[in-house]
Amino acid sequence: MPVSEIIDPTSNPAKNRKRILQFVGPVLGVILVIGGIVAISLHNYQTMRGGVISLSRDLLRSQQRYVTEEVEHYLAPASDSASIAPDMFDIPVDASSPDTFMLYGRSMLAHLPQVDSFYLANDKGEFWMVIRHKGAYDQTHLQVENGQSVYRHTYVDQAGNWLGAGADPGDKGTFRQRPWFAGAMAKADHQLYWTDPYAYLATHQFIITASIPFTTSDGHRNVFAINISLNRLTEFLNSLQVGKSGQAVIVDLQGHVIAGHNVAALSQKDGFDPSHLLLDPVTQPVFTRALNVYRVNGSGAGLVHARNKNYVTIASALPMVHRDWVLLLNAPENDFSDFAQSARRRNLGFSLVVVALALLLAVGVIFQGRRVEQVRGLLERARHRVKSENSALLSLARTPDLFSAEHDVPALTEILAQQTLARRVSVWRFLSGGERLISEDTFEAEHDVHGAGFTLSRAEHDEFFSMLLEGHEFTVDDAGREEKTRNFQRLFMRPFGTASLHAYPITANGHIVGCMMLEDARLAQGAEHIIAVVGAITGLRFVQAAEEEAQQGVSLPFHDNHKAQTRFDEGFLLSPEGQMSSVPSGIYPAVPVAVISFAETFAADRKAVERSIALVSEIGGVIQRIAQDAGLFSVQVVSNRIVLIGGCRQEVDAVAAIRLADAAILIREACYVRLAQADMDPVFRIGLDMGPLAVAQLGNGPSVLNFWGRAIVAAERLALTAPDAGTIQVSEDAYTVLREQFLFRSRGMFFVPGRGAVQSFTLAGRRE
Amino acid sequence: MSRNDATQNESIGRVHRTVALDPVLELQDARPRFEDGGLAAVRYNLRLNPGDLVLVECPDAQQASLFADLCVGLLPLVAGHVRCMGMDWQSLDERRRAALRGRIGRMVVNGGWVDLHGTDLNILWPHLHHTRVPTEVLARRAIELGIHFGLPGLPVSVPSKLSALDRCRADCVRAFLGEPALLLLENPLDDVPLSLLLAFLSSLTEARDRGAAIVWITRGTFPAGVGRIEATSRWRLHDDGLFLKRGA
Repeated sequence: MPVSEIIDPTSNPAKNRKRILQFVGPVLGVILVIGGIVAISLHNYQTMRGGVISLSRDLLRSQQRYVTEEVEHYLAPASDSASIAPDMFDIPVDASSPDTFMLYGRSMLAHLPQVDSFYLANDKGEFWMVIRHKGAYDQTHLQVENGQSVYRHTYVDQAGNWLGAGADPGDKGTFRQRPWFAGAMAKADHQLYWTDPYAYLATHQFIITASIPFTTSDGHRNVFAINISLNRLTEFLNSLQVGKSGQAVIVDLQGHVIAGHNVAALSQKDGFDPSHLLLDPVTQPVFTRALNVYRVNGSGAGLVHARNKNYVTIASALPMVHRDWVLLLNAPENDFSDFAQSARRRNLGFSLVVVALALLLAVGVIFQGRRVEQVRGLLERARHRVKSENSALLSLARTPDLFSAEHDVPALTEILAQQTLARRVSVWRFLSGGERLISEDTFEAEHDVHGAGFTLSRAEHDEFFSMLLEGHEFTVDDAGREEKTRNFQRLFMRPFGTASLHAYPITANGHIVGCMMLEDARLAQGAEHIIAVVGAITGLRFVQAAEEEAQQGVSLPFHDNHKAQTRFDEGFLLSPEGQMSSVPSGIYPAVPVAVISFAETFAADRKAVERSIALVSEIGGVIQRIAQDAGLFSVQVVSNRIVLIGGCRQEVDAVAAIRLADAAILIREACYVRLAQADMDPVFRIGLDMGPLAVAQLGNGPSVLNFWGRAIVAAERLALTAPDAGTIQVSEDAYTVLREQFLFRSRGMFFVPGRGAVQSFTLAGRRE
Repeated sequence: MSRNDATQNESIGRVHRTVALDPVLELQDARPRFEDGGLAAVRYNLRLNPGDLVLVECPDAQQASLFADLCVGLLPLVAGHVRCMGMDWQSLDERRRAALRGRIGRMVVNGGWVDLHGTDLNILWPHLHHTRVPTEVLARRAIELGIHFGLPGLPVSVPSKLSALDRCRADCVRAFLGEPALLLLENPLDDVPLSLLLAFLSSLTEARDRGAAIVWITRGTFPAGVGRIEATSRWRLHDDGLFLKRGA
């Protein structure tokens, strides 16, 4: 394919598509595998995540039930005790009643650790209390002594044995303002009243009191109260394992924390006020949001995103304990989905392995495809080469006079150059019994030029000759570095700029008769058979040449006895001799020049040639006479061309141009007549231009006046390309000067190198 | 690669001097559609190897033109094949067909000149379209050929402003420019000066030496100056098909 073609018609797009598919197919396959793995992983992840969340919620729900039960159990003593108390103290509370109360209290305190203390009070202002005290029990009774209220403490053990006593001043009836008493008194009998949690500063306990009012038979209202320590509930909730790092908390609807995470620590601080212990949206965003969701949606599970993590939450009311209490549980999703994440990581690892394998496979497929393409390319090239070699041999076989030494066969070296991609191929023949080597044909592939006649002598290239005459084929990558080829390289190769040399001896009849040299041959290997064929043919030609030379005998020494004196004729029909003094050497910008070009005709008939010589002589004479009559500056004959110069002045000489045009017309007519008389076609053309010329006197004794320059070249070209035989073609510059005196016919506009687009005219004749 | 920075490759085709084994043009039982008219819907067979010159006598210019159209794949076939440089026109897509036609030099009966542009553009157009050869290189080659065929340079006037003879010369330049592999010449030289005829024949010989195949369609007579043309074969194209001339 010519390399300059934009589209190669021999290139099939289907093959290109196939080639692209070979590359794109595996890549697409890998992308599909990766996409499939990603999709499956995503699907697995979503499914697993859903499952994990569902599982987490189930787990939390189960924990919530457990916690609810635990809280119920925790607070159950309060309601149970409260329900028992009215029955225990149905009779009027008097001096014996406290003993029963104390006994009951001690027993309950001994067995129920969450119970902090018991109160018994009535509307008469009497108050009793049982509370733990240093491993024993403090039984307190509010008494009025000497008009002062005093808390009399009696310390007893579990069995009621006296251990000690003490007193604290007290305010009579202060308990009446306490919520547990006032709240209970506000309720009907046997209706349990729960206080809000409050701190019992003496013991740093976070207390909630359940109190129940009842009326004794004497008509007085009494209140039995049981204090439950919420610290233990907090400890329980803290100890609760919710996932790995989940938390639980009990709050009321206003956000007050009843028990749970962080309450115990806060309660130890001075000035701790449980009524102000609220969920903190900053530090407890999950619980806060879960509570808000509960307020809107009620009990149920939820999913909260906070601290860049997902939390599974569950909220449920604790109506059996306190209608405003809400149990909140939360746990990070990770706690439950860790196994899923680790499974995902494993899956990702496996997927990466699969992708890597797929990539490897794809690369392998692409590599294999390319290998196949390369092999196909090699086969294609080999096929092309075979075809090229066959066509070369065919063209060689078609060469006429292939074995005739009388005729040159340039195809031999051309074929070698073509098949071996050598820059230069030369065929050499041994002469004088191997003393000289002469190049019969040298072909330069780059310039498409043949040459011959280069001679090497053994005296200068002894080792090189020896190698060739011994019949060795040899290859030298750099002939300049090799001792045996260095001289040859310097003499023959270096001027041409070649480095490597392949030399093949030519054998005929068992003798070395010559050699072939391939310079910078890129494909010498593999073309051995072509080289051998060409070598064999050349060998036969050399043998034939030697035989013919032998038949012709030894050539006699050449003696030239008729050596003539060299002529230095200028070829002027009309010499400018008389005007030479006025025409100094130099450049003349506008010289009118006409060139008459006669077609070179050759006739095999000797008589015809002799007749034409006579005719040419006659025409020459006519032209000379016309030129003289017209007063032209000079008329010079050069082979089959006649150069006429109208005048030679530095300024534009329109008269000289007119003179020249007149002469040209006369010459044309004269030639027409003479050629017609001789029964010949008009085999001449005339070109006329006006342009710059260089004029110089060349040589010395004799000296020659020479003209050269653009005007002569242009006139010659105009003559050469005149539209028809016998016509005068005139340039645009000459036309500009002559148009008022002569008739012209425009030939059109032509692009001429160095002059651009110029018009060309045919000179028809003189204006009347 | 743009046209301007393209490497100058003036020797395109010159390295292919040896004879290729594949035919340059092959008509194998090619039967054109009848309704396309002008050319008989019969089977045509012709084979041109590289370097071959085939003379086809055809008195009908329209028929000659259609036959050349058949050779360049412009006529649809109902049977057979027309292959150019081993490629079947029917199996090629339009782009490849057009590119392959870029390798063919053609002289058509009516000249095929577009008068909207200068003759220079008419000459260079096919190669500007099909190749990346720089414009300057193409123009230089066209000027050389123009001078060879007797033009002072590359004609820039519109074709209708040229004389018939100069148009014929420009036609030769266009056909031989770019060293085509196949030349389809429809009545190329009718009543032209001997000098042009000789220049044409020398270009023809050069093209054959280069390995180009040539189909020269004539009206049946040659100018006397041509003498006996050494053709590979001589054919006659008439209403009943293409036939090898007896003794050719």
